[in-house]
Amino acid sequence: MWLTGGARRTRLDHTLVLRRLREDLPGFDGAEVVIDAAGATAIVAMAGDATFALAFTAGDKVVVRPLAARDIRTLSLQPAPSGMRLVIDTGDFTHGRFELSLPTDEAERWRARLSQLPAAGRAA
Amino acid sequence: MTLEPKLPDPVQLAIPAFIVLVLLEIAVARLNRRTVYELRDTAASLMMGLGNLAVGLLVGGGIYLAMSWVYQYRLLDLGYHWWSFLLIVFAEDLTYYGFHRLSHRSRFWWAAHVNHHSSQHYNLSTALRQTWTGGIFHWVLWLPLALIGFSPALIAFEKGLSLVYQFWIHTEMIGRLPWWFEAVMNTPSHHRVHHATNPRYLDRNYAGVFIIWDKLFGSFVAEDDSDPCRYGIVKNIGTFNPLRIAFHEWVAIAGDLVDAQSWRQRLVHAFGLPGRCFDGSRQTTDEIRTAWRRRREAP
Repeated sequence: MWLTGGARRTRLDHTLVLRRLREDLPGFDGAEVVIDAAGATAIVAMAGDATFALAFTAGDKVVVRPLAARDIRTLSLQPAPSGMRLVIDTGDFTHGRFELSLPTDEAERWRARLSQLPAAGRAA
Repeated sequence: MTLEPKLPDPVQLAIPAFIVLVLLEIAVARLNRRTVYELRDTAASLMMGLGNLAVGLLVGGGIYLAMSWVYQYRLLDLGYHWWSFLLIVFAEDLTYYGFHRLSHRSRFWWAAHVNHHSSQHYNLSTALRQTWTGGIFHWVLWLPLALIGFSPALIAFEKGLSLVYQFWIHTEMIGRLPWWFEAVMNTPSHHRVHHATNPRYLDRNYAGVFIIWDKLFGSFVAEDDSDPCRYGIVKNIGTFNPLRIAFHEWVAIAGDLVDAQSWRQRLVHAFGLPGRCFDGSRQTTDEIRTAWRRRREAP
């Protein structure tokens, strides 16, 4: 364990998320970022909510995915110890379910924005 | 000079060295306070390596039979002479180049190969992150060697040697080697490029042992210190689960086949360029590179 440094997990911050977006989704100009309380998942919106992206941690690395309406299977809000948990199920085989613990108003705002993507939020 | 046809398995012989070298790289990284390894990533790579060995044991006999069947119709009798050992080194490496290029340019083959590229880390354990499904059908590309006249034992021996050679090039601990070595051989620098997702590096340096094939066939790119390699795949995976690593692209293909509107689309989804799609949701590596070049050239 000492040798490998153990199971490390990186923590997302705005700078890291925007850097990875620039690298992995060039042209995606993140205008607004929300990061969950654990620093494990973030949603990024382009200006005018034209496009969304998800960033999440995988160990000590970060994974970035575009988030289009067709990617969202279900979108829901669940009570969390502090605020609400925004749950996005994309059905992706490698990592399909994303949970973001956010203040209640933030969770509701982002759910509404994602729901406005055409055909999104079928089981909200 | 004719040698005994009973040849050792180079991979089996090298396994202790693999373990020692991985531990050595981990220790050097740790002492230099570099975050080269992550426990779950390394464990996933080791599981992929073990799975690959298990599949090899299951299908190895059948492959050997198929190779032997083709070998009985061989055009030449190359036997076990010193020069046939020399010839097989180059013939097998050229075959590997073709196989590897196909594995990046056709989605069916990519589905089996993608897991080798699925780590965002680049270290010796990445070399062990091997396919679980490729062993079932990769071997067909080596059949022509048996038809030419190389014995199945010699082909298997050289394939093993090539795999052993390719182990040590999966590291960031070695920078550039002497120019004459870099000019001819596949090296850590050349192979870092192969594993990188920077647009300039995508789908380049397919070499196994000799980098000369990439230079001959126009797929060579040198590592550029101003553009440090970022490792992984275009759509990185977010899992350390070996089952998901092994099968995720097969599942994606199945999903695309179900959604396809025509048989042409199904063929493209199964055998076309990875990333090719009909709804604009993905890009091929060629499209990514073209877009990158446009952005660079834009005033």
